Amino acid sequence: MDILGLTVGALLPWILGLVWIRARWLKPAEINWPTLLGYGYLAGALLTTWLIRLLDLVGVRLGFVSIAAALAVSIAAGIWTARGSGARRPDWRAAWRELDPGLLRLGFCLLLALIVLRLAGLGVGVAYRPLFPWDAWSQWATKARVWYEFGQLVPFVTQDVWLSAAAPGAYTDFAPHYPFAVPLLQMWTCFSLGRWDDSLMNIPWIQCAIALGLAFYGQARHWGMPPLWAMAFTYFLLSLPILDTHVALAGYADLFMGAYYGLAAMAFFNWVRTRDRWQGAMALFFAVACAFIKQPGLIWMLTFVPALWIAISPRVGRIGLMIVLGIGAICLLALNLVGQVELFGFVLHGWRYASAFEAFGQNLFVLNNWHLFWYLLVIAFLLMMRRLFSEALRSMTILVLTGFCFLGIVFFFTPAQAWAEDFTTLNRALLHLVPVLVFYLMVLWREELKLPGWFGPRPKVVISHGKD
Amino acid sequence: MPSITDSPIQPHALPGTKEWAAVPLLLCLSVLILFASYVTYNWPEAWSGGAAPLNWPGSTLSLTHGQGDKDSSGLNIEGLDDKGIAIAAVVTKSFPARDYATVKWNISGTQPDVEFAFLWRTAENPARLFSHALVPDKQGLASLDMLSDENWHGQIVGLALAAKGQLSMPVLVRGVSVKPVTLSQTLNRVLGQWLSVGGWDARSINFADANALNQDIPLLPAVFAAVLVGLALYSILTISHLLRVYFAVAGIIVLAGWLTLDMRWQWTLFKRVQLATQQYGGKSWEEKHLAAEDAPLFRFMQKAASIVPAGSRLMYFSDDAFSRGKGAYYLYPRNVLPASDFALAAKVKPGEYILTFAKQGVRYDAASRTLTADGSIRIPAELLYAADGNILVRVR
Repeated sequence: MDILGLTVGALLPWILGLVWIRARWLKPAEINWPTLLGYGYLAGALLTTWLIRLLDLVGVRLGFVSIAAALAVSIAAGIWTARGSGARRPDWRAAWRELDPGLLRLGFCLLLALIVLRLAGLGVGVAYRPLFPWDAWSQWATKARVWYEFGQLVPFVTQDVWLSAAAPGAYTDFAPHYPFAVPLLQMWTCFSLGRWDDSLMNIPWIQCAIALGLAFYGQARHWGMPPLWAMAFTYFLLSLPILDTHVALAGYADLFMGAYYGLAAMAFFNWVRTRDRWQGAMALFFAVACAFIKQPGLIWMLTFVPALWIAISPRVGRIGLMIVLGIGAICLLALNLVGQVELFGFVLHGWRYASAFEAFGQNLFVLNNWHLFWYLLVIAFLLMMRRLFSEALRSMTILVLTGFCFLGIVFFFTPAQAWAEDFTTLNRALLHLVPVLVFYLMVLWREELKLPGWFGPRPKVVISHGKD
Repeated sequence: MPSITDSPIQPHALPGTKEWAAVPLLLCLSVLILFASYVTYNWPEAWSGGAAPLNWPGSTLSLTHGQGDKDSSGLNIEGLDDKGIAIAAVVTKSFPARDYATVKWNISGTQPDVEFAFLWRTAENPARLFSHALVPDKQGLASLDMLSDENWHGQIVGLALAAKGQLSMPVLVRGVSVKPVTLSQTLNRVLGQWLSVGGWDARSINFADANALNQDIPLLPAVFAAVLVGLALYSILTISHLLRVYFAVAGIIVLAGWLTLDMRWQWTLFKRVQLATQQYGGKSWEEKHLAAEDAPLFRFMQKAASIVPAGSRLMYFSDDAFSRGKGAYYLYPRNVLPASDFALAAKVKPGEYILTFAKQGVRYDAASRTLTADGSIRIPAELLYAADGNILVRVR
């Protein structure tokens, strides 16, 4: 049962997502297969958790049979919606032909091999190591364990409510209010395995990394990147030590958060460029999905609003954003005078920069958390500062800056600053934004880097004018 | 009429042979430039033979504790003081610790019942005496590599030899010498730090590569510097019209830097996977936890969980945050609430359970059949299981 069940459990959500994102009305005909496969898994994983919640809501006891049956029916419905969608067949030969001369093929294969080696190693680590990191066993897997054992989504309440016995039968843990998606995926994997296993239940983390890589490569190709360039940046993304660590020490939701936000952003960037319906639908779906992964996902979802505004109405959006930015700056200045305010349950305090900057500097530029990524991003910003708001890049830049603003407010104006100083949350929070940033960096380096005229020899060529 | 003009640069074209050949040369040159800069800055004397070793003959030492005398061959330690200690000290002209790595005490008369230690003072903190144990060898005492001692820093202003134990024969101190740091020692140390691989720890999920915190030269900025110098050299060559501009060349230089970092990371991951397969390979999920570092906690919780029915309400107390959180995880699907403040135990109702693990001040009084804490809280309870001071009870 082990391997067979695990394989079925891993594939059903993937197939579910794949068939639904190929629905006819999404017009997926031009979408390449790496993109479909990558988006397919992450869409399917979330849809699976929604199905599980629906089954529980109608009183069906949760188990492998009930969930697998619901998935099978949903897949069948998805196949029906996808009929005649005309998705193109994978044309590997065409991609291979693009890699000419052979040196490019060699580079492509080398990078692909490095990615496969990395993912394989991480997969072995996930399968062998029992649940290890702190929040994994204090906040996420707690729910998976209880739901798996009882076959129903037993409520989790705060410790005060538990003590008051106001909710009989309710459970508690350190974060009872956290979204359900991640523990539901762990629970489903255990159901498919036929037993509780807090190593193998984390297989979705390796699937998430694979899906992120596929989606990134596919979207890079949609952007028009050559295969080698797209593969190089996919390798850059999947080789980031913090990202790898979150796969190897599976159990936190940050990898999923980064993946869902990244997929939403990449689809959004391509939608802004082409107004392709499929890309727009994926941007919308995955942006909304963010809210189901982690609590900050709601804010990550909202970071799309300014960029969307600019994309839809550049002139009004620019003016509006400047007004919003101005009001925001005034509010932050006022906050410095007031000292501290509470907003929607979040405590904001005045600007305290020194320690957080030091922590950022250490984690981004000294410790090998991100390889050379942040150095390259800073250089890209400096070299291309004047073109960041060009028509082609405007929405991307706004989204990236909105993301940075969100993190800046969290780490410089809230008590979360302490979590930056002690290094506990800083890199995890950045992981949410990094897949987007890698895509952005790729676009900047590929399309926008211009060199001054005095840079290098220019071959003399004869240009023929029309009339002579 | 056709005209000759400058073509736009086509940076994404493939480089020519000359540019391909230049990449490894540029990288090597970059590393050489950085290495030479580092040596010049840190060892200005390296090119001229290095710093001179420092020597203090035994006759310059004096006994601050214990008894003895000096002769032409050195200082003789003949007796210890009433605390069983003798200290032979020398006040030195101050010298920078970072320039000197090896300390060698030249003595004869080492004996099994006497332990020796090297003591030193620094100008920054002259009142404090730092020490490092000395290990006897066939010649007397083995040389000390002080670079690994974090207290060997700043300006050194005094050295001493301490002898402790029972002296059965005199000890002759011929002198002490301090040898300068060699370039190869430092390079070995830096390379050792770069290549050292640690296992996963509790911090790993928050930041990878905790080893980098202790590196004399952090690897990441060093690799970035090499990439930057390589790119600068390439720029100079293109501006000088010796090479053409191709982004691929710059890209490969960056990729080489990235790969350098990533190969080390891949090696780290490989070693960690290897450790995981050795530790957990072929085991069930319970056996894996029994093979893990927190096996005693898991074992106790498994036993407790086997007594408490699934779904039962259970309040679990521990003073230790890790044991509290992880222990609670092991107890699910029991309906557990982990806490540290034992006053909350007063809220537990009859029929519910209380569990303590590594909890100070809580004990079960068998005579009165009560769980008590600091004498102030008394809960009538039936003892179900106890081991190593950890208790499981059902409230009556």
